[in-house]
Amino acid sequence: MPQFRIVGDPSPEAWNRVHRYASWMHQTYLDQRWTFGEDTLTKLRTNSPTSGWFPALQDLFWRIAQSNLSYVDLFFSPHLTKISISTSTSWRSSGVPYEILPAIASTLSTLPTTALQSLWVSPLISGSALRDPLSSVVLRCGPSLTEFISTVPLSDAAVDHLIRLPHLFTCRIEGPPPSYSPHICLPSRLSQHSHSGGTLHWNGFRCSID
Amino acid sequence: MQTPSVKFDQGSPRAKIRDDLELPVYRDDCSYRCGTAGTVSSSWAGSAVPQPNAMGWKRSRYPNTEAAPSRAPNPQHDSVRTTMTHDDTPLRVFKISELARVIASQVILISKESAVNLARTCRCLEEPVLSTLWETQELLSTLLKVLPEANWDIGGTTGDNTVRGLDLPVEGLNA
Repeated sequence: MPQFRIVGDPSPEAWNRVHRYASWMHQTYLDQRWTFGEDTLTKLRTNSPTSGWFPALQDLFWRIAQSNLSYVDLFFSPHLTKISISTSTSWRSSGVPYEILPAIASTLSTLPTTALQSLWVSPLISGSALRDPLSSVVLRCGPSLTEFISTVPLSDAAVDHLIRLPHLFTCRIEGPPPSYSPHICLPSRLSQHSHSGGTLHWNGFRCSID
Repeated sequence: MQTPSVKFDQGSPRAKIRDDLELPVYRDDCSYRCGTAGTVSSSWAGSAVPQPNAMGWKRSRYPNTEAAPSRAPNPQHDSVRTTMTHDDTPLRVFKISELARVIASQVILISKESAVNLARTCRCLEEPVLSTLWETQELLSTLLKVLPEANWDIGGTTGDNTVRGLDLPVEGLNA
């Protein structure tokens, strides 16, 4: 796998040039194709502008890999509206290695949700290992969220918070309904979605709003 | 002195005009004329000698806008180097930035290489295509390559195979 290195100490003008181009980026796709030397990431973090490297980034597709876990947070922008998360192709059969789950959980807990409109988590990521970090992300989501798709089980509080978001029109989650919330299918909410042509129904362990 | 003129059949490919007759093909701004066919009139006298630009194409300005040529006019040669007076409707479309962005975004769906080639054809398209290209960058390394070349390096996992300026896997080059 190729490794990219920053050699020497680029001048402030050179870093400004990088920032100008980075500020233009609206969408990016992170995968496992590249690795970076630790000194490279250190230099990137040291020279990070106050607004971050990618202040205009809106759409982030993150294919979780061991090689990008160390720098994916560089792409976290408060203006992110769409985040899609999948896993490395090499983990499709064996699942996510247990030893890097804490790092993934730690990174997930820092996902910016201020302007988040869409959060998609690949069905390849399932199981309860990431239940708590993803639930914390859901709890931080605000009314801007319109789409949430995940097969990771969520906490009761996260599910309850999720289905009460006013603009959530696409939701696919798996797991039982929250045990403590008897008003999970509020009539007003049902009528709201019926009005827009959608329905909310809990079919076994799967809830969907379409 | 009567102005010589050359007539082309309707539908003659512009590439053929450029390659066979060395007519000037412009890319410096959108004020030039282009088209697929039409009357070509000589306007060489008093204009600058076209110089190959970075793309290897011949470039010319409108007559009487630049310094006098450094050589005496050659009627035989100048009858070929002419200014085209064609319909510039296609370029007027590209001047509408919204449409140019739509075109750029569609070409990028085909391939980024096609988009880069499109950006090289005309200044009208350069900005919208490059903007669209930079809006979507898949590799952090691509971004860091805007650093001076002396400040970055790409190596394989062994550190022995250094490849500069290429987005190719090292093992692929060694194969």
